[in-house]
Amino acid sequence: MNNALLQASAISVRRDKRITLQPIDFAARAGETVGIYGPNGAGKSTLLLALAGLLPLESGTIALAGQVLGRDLRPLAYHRRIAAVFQQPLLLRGTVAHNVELGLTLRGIGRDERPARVVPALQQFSIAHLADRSVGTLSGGEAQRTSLARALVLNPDVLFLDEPFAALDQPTRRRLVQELAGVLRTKQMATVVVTHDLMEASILCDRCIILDSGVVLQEGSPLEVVRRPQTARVAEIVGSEYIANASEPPYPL
Amino acid sequence: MGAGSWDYWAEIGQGFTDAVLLLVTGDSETWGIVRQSLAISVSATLVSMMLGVPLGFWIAYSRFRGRGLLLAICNTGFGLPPVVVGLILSILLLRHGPLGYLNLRFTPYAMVIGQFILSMPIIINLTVVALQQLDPKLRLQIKALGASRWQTVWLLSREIRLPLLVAYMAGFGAVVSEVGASQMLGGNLPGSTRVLTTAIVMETSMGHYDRAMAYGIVLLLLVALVVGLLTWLQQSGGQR
Repeated sequence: MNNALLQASAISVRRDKRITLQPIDFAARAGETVGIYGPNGAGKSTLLLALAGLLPLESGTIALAGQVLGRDLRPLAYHRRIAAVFQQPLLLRGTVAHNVELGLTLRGIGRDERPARVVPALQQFSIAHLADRSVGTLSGGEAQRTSLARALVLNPDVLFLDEPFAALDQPTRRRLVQELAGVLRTKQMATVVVTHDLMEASILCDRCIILDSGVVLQEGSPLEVVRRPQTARVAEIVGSEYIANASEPPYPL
Repeated sequence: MGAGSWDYWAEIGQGFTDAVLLLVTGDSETWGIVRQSLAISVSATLVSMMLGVPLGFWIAYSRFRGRGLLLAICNTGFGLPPVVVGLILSILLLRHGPLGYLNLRFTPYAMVIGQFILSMPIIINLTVVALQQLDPKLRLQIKALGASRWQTVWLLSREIRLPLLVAYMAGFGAVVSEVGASQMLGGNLPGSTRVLTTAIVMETSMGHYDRAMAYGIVLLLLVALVVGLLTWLQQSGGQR
């Protein structure tokens, strides 16, 4: 992909003495959301962590806007251009506002400039009223909103989301997915999202890759991979019911 | 109760009263020893923290050959006999020993070194355990927020500040109450290396139970203070 913002070439990862990710090419354009979908143990989170520069690569390269990580771009500089949200909110001690502000502080954004960015981020995720609350008192949904606000306040070039809604109850999850989709539409960053949920992928993602045992099986729009699985294994991963009936997809796409 | 027994208890009671008087009247010798004990043990534990906490981070987050062995050595350090540490250091610090040129034997510095060796494994171990109990992805999250290496260490230290305080107090509690290494390395010199534990041993052997009990009371109060603080911190630890 020529105009890719994030480009990975033949990256592989070795964990616990075995290759958990076979050489994979990956690309995401600015403003594009790419989903990584697959069963448990497929290597989804490993791929995301590798792309985020949070896992050492066995082979291959990652480039951000043409700058190769480790060659043209130091890891710290790379990490200061990305943001990540994980399944658990992983908030640090302190208040909601302190957490949302934290990345800005670490990236050297001045004290005067920070409130002008933190307040809109808090409002965007409807947590402005919780700004002074200690994170220990938050509900799961509030904590994950804080985590999302903390990532998006940074205006990253690439946003990495590792099953950010998996630990939430269904109604909260549905609401947050919709809200996040709305926010992502207004941003010009590339987003990589690991998901277990095809409905979530269909709402958030422009493109999806199907991963199994560390290998990319298929790539396309969420609708495409569900409607036209290229192999029986992909069909099994995206929903065997659909294949059996050969009619409409089992998820509202 | 016979007359002998009565005399015994009367003497103990008198000793206790005299001990309290020594403490409340601000007896300079008594309080000098208390100050010296605190200075040596606080310094030794602080040095252990300064080196032990970064080492704990390194052991917790690095993968290298011999890591398990290093952790096992630290675990062994929990049960390190103070008198053996005192013996080994004394041999090293003998005038013709490898560290004899430092002229540290029978100085407070030698005691600080001995207590540092005793508290270091406790601090390393408790730091490693505290870090291992954090969500492994927290470190990745902090990196993804754009933290440098030192910012990461600082933020993770804030997350484990309660266990770190516990580590400090556990280390301090262990060294302030040890006598073997202090006696062998310091020599119990008045005004210099005499600390609470060595003074208790000496005063008891000389039959000065009032002073021995005064020092014992202070030592007990110090240990009670440490345990009390630990308990309070543990109780309030759930609040973020």
